[in-house]
Amino acid sequence: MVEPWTVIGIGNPLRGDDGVGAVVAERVRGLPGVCRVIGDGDPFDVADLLRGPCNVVLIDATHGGGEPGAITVWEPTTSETARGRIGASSHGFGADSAIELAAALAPLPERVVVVGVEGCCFEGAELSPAVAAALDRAVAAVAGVIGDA
Amino acid sequence: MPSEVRTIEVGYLTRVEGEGAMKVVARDGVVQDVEFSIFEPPRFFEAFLRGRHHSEAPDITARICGICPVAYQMSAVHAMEHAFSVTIDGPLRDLRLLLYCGEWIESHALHIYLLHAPDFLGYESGITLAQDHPDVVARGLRLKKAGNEIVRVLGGREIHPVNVKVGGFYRLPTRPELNHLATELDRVRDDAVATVALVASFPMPDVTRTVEWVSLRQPDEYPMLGSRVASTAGLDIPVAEWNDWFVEEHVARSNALHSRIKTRGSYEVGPMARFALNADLLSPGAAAAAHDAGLTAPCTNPFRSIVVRAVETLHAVDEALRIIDRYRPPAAASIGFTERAGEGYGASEAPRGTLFHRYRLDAKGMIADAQIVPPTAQNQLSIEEDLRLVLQEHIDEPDDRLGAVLEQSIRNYDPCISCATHFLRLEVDRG
Repeated sequence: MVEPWTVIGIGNPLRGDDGVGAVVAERVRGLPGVCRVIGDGDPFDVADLLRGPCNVVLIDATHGGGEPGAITVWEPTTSETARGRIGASSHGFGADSAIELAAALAPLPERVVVVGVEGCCFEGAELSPAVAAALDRAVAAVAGVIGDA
Repeated sequence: MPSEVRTIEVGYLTRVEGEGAMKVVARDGVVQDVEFSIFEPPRFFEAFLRGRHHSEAPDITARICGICPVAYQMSAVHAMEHAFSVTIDGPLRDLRLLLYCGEWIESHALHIYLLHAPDFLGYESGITLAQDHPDVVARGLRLKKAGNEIVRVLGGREIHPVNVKVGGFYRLPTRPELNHLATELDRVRDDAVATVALVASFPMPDVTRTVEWVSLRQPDEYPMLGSRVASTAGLDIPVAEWNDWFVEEHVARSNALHSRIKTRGSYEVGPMARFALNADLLSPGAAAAAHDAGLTAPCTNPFRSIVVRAVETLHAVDEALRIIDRYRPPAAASIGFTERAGEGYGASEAPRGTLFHRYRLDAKGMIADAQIVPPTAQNQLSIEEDLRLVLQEHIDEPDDRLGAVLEQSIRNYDPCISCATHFLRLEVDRG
């Protein structure tokens, strides 16, 4: 039986690559095992969603100086190495912070995985070409996480 | 000897929505210059709106800010309705107020508990506050969730609501949906009362400052929507005369435009302004809570804005319950109108202050020109003036303590610079 996952995209589609989380979240709607997809999630509300029973995949733009379009997958609850990687959110409060807040308030689901897509342009209504070209890989990364469960 | 400029990174998670920087110049312990600048991208949205149909403006402008989309949407539809001589009243207007109550509750709860309270209690963030006081932060999240729920039901989804249109709504809520909201609001009303008492107990820096406070004002309703702008210096004008009285100027250090009242200078919008001009219009419960918290209008300590914000949260809960109780469905979800060429002006009270929109439309209802004046840009000069006062009090303190109190001071305005990005740098040049 496929374990249910909540997939949450963080970001604003009218802020360039910041919107990649919402775009990817929309694309994985309907994948086996995805119980809920919320595009464009407010990071503060993400903390609330992390109190539910489902495992969670968060998709957010990263802004860590890497190659635009690069995909990074990590589990913040088990790895410190990725801390600070997230930073492109226009809310000034990225996925790592939402997870930390949620952990302070209640036990987290068994698995919380972040799929980061490195962005390079955070203005305008379009994804940059590098990030647009990475969408299939980002969807595959999410599917891989869910399939690995 | 050349002056030494020390740059201190105040933090990555800055608890203001967006990106800003402070530069302070002091000589011999006397503050000489203060600059608070925000990095707002070129006015992308105003340009983006040009050539679009008027019906697209509510949804496009709702994207400007993830925290106050309802405000952008409301100012936009009111401007369009002004251009088309459409008046929304009765239950349709009540539903818009209800939606706005949801945004005030979620935005204020977020700012009070996760962004501002940590300053007063000596925590570096809402996360560390939550680690030590999970019950307190959980109360804030409960409140915020009730606000989210209103926005979800009335707006069609929790963020970037899509249900508002020029002329009304696409879909009306059902009575069971409204009863569900009333249950949620009843559940958090005690949380809203407790929030006022909590923040009123915080240690407050002792600062006094008066400024010209500006907000919408009408005789019978604490302002969220409205058609007249008033100030504590006697201004009382229709929204359509905004540009006769207020001017936006480019300042070299900031990409955002700075607003002034012509011939007078800086002014402040937001909870402090609304309270100064409209305290007599609060719900009885909110007025009682304000009284118990020792608030009288005008409140002249900018740090007590957190108390005013809590009082407004309780007012929004009370107002939402009152609207749901008296609501009777209108005949239709929206009213008809005829597109025509012209200019429309609209303003509403975003959680952080008056948000003005102006649109020029052609005969087909296409947007020829758009002007959006967000509250944070209007408050920039006032923020700088506060910083100058606070700085002089604390100039002898080490940079880290100085940075903390300056950030706290900036957060008195709940600045929403998400219309920009997010990073706050402090430079202190002590010579």
